[in-house]
Amino acid sequence: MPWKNNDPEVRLEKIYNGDQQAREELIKDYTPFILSVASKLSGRFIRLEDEEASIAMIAFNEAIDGYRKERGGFIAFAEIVIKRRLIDYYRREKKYRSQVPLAEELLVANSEESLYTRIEVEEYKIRLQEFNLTFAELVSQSPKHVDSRRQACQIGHTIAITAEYREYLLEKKSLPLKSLESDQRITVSRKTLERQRKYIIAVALIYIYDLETLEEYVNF
Amino acid sequence: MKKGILLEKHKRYWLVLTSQGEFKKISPKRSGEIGGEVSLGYSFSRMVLQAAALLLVFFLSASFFVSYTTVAAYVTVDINPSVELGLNRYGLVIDMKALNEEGQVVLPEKKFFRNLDDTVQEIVDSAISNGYLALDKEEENVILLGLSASDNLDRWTKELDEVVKHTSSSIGSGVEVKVINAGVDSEIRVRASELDMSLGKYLLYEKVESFVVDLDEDVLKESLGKGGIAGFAKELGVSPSELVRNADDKEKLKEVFRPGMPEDIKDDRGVNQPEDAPQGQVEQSPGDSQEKQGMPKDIPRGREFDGDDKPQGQNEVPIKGGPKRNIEGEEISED
Repeated sequence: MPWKNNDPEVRLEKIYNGDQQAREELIKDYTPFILSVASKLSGRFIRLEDEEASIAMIAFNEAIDGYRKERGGFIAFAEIVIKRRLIDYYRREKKYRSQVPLAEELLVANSEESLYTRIEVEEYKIRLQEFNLTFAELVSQSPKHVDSRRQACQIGHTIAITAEYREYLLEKKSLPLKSLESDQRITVSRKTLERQRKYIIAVALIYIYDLETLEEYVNF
Repeated sequence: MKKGILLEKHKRYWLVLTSQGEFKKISPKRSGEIGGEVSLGYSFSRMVLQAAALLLVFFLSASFFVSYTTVAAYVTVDINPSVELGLNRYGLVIDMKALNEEGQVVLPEKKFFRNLDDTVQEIVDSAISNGYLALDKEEENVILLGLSASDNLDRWTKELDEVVKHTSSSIGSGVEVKVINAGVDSEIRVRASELDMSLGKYLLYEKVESFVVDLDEDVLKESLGKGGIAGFAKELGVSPSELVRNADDKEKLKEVFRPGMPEDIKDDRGVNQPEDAPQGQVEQSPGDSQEKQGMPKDIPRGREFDGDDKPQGQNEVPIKGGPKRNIEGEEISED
């Protein structure tokens, strides 16, 4: 793997100094990586000719421009950008598909459906990462009792549909505890809110980013 | 059945979001795609596995229970109170029964699953405190242990030897403690109980019987039942401890009886007896000798002769010595 030997950050310096050649070389060298990210996301093998491949390459190029050294390694950053762009692409695709006549949709339904939920899960994962949350962590953070889970999910929903709370959450990366406490719709104590905050955030993100399939799982 | 959406796959576990909003770790299934639905109920194969495991546990514990509660050996203790103990294969007392009224007195409280040694010790102690074992009258004191095991005779013999050693040392040398062994023949115990005798007494009787021709068997049996071994020995005119001490050795037993035995027959017996099978195999020896010598049939003999055919043996008891009379009676009635 060529890119492993050659520190991408060093090559990025050249690119930022206006070396167009270096940019093309970097993209060329990292094409296998780009394809593997796309393949991993979609769950099927992506070849260079596929539409996903070109979207992923454009995303990679975008990542070069958007990269800031202070935010960590370039590769990790590029991976997130590629995934996001692909997710956006798949969502657009889905909307388009839903306008296709029913009979035709049924033909592709099975494989497409699982692809979309897969994309949703991948997107969810990325969104959670922004809040420093992982699925593994949420396992231990899920309220044990069904009723308390249901209550927490409702709070998450409330946050997602209330613009004020939603913006607070996305901006500050934490719950607007004070406002929630005084909200009439929320009956639980601040202590409970604090204890369940990770879970509540996780649920709120599902609603905020409109992850349809996952919504079904937290709306019970 | 509960369902979940597969979020993340790891080698040893999967992470899912259940339909009840719970993030959960589950063990990997055979197949599943990220974003795909997984059922969280028990899979069929897993249920089968669990059922099999449960069954296995059940059978193991059942077989253990059976082995624990099945009598592997019977030991009778005759002082004169007679007690029968049933032992499981682990050498623990799982059954005890008084074989006569005195036995009822010395029968230990029904504490089961104790080892043989302790139980016998308690019986002996109780016999002493109830006056059945008078430690000062030397001649009268005998303890006869009868053994009948379904298998593993060596082990049981060893165990009983331990008991003998213990008992002897705890009550002093004045008491003759002896083990008399039925071998692995389970029929003997049945025959003994048919005659209302303890295993030990029956074996003793069986051994002594060949030396005694001039005494009534019924009288002997009666004395064995009522007077215990001491009474039996008295009837035979020998010392109880002598009798018991030599009970398992025909040669020596012969010595004991020689003085009191009638002229001709004793010599015949004396020559023939030692040729027979070793002690423990009592079942065959008298039967064989009986055949050789063509002796008149008497009850226990007849039974032994018939060997494994129990019901027939049973039938012979009431007819004993009677056939002649019966025939005569019939003839008379016909006339």
